[in-house]
Amino acid sequence: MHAAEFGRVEKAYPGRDGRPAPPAIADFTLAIREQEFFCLLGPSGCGKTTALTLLAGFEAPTAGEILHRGTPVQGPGADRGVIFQGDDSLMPWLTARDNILLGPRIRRMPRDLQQERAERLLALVGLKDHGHKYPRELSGGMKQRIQIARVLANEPDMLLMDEPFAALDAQTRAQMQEELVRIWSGARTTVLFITHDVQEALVLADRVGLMRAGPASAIRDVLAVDLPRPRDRTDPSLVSLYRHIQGILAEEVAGREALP
Amino acid sequence: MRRAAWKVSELALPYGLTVLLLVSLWEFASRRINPLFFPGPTTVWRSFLALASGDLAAHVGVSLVRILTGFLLGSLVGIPLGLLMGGIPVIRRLLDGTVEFFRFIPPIAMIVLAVVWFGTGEASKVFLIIFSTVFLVTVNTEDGVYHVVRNRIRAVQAMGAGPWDVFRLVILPSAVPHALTGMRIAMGNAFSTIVSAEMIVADRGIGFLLQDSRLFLRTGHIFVALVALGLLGFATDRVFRILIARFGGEYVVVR
Repeated sequence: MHAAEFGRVEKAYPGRDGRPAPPAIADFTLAIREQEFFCLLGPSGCGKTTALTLLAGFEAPTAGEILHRGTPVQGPGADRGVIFQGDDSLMPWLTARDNILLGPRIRRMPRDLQQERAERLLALVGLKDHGHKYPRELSGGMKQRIQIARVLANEPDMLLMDEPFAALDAQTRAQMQEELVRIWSGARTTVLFITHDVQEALVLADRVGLMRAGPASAIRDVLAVDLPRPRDRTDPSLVSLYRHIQGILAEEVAGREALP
Repeated sequence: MRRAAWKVSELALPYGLTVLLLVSLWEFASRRINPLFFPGPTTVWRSFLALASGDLAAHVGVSLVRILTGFLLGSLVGIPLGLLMGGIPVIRRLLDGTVEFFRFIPPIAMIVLAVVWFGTGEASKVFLIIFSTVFLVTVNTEDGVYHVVRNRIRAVQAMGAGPWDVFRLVILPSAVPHALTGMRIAMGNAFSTIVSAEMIVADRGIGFLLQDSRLFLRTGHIFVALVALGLLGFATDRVFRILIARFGGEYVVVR
């Protein structure tokens, strides 16, 4: 059984004046294995986020089928934790600790267990002494750590990450990637990670799904990245994969621009 | 807390200077104008002392109780109504037109009807304040619901939140600063409504004091009533600024 499956999925959003617009993704088929780190990579506007939004259950596909562990996705649920691109999903009126405890409180976890879990997760993401701070008092990288901790608090069997490090500076991004690999190696949760950064995909993923340029985008290729972790960005086989993927992406972008 | 204390001392100096300047200008101007029309600070101070030993406190108290009662009742209706209208499309479609209709009837225009319905006592005044509060608070709270960040709703849904959790954990706290802003504007309206109402039908209150002083041409008393209004408004607005800063400083910029 797969962690998640997309079967010939199409998603079209209503266009202006209600006229039908071309679908964001069409005939999108993909299977994500249990416990794997899967990166969905593609040029901007190709519908990567749409695929994640559908698997999260925030929206319904206009055609096709989406399965999570063999069961059709009906709506959002704590079994699929979502980490958003920006920091606007953190509740600004709650401290870091209370943001992390949102999920446990929704499930009415006993109070002593809540505190224990919050402390453990704050330590896991390296924010042991920052639990009392509000999001506005934390840096961009710290806020993404809180988002990760907040999702792990629900022990989901799948993490859906929508370009979580895109807004960070290069230094912080590299550091966050390393930490994510460390956390993931410990938890071994299935990850679907959206990015447009080729190197990021290669540092993180077991497999990389390359998308075509939109609209009506779908998976073009799936490449295995069979390298031990932690990965060295200058590793020759990583660099050659990087060149290979860059070539494909350039082709996709050029193909789209050649369209009328 | 230390920061709050620092803020007070930081504000006290400019406020003090402004007051000093205004009073000096007032004194200066009053020496050139007939005191019957424009009494100076010393005359007004004497009026204040006379009123203070009499029933000034009673007048102010009566107006304040009317405002607070109507204001609290109006908010108690307006906030849930705004939340319902913002959150449930059917209710919005049912009530939107009605709210917009009544919102544009000035509360003052309702005075005559209020007296016919509720008599000349407290009930008609409280009714007017409720009327001047409820729609503003409703519309602002409703607006707050529309401004909820979508990713916050999605984030808690992906933690297993049901509709009630979404309301309790995201929508309500997001709407609070907007509701408070609506209440702050409504409080200003409540002041103008109560004074007008008391000038027309009342035997107590600041509005009555103004009207009564006019009849006897006691300009000093009029000035005392006006200063009292200004100070009351200033004080209540301060309270709101503190509340808004406490519950939503992030969204609503108050200066």
